[in-house]
Amino acid sequence: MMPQVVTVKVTDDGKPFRIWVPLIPVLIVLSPILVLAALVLAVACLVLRINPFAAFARTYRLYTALRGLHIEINEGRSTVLITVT
Amino acid sequence: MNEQRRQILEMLAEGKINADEAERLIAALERDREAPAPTQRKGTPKYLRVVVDDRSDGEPSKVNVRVPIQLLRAGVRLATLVPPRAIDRANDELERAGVGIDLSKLKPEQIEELIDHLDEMTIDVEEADSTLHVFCE
Repeated sequence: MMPQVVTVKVTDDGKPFRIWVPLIPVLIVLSPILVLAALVLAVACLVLRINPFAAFARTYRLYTALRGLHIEINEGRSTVLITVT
Repeated sequence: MNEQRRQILEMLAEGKINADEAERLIAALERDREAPAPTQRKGTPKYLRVVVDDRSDGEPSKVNVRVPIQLLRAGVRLATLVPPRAIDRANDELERAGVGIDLSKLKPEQIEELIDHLDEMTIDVEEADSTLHVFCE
């Protein structure tokens, strides 16, 4: 299942800042750029003699596997938390 | 009363087995129920957790990373597409950095097998003011 939301929480000196990024609307907005990037990737695959379909499939799989990723870094009173749900 | 015990008692009532045989069968049933399954395996882990706790600079700092096992697998599969030329260059750089690992000898099946057995792995490194804990959950 595709990841839906990336949550970034930054706490600096006790002041929290939290942002939720809904991935599907972001992907829709960025779709023209993504199409261009896919074309560039396909050309690069052909130049490097890599099956572009396999490359796309595995990249998509990597993207979908991001769901559940959790990164938390605390240093003193500062915290950075990134979660993918 | 469970179904197997009832069947034994019915066979005894019908005269198919005698009392000694019925007793032995019931005892065997109870032994089976008490003994745990020998190849009982824990649930497949979903995440690899890396926790680093460091107090060496005086100020406590902590890193807590939870990586989905599926992400590791997907990364391994994507890495199989890396062209041999790029692997050779990476090997050269590793050698220059003093790391004697030949990436071309590392097969994806071996890494997959390693990931399959990650649930049995726990790494604990403790120093005076820092700890590292790697495990699956």
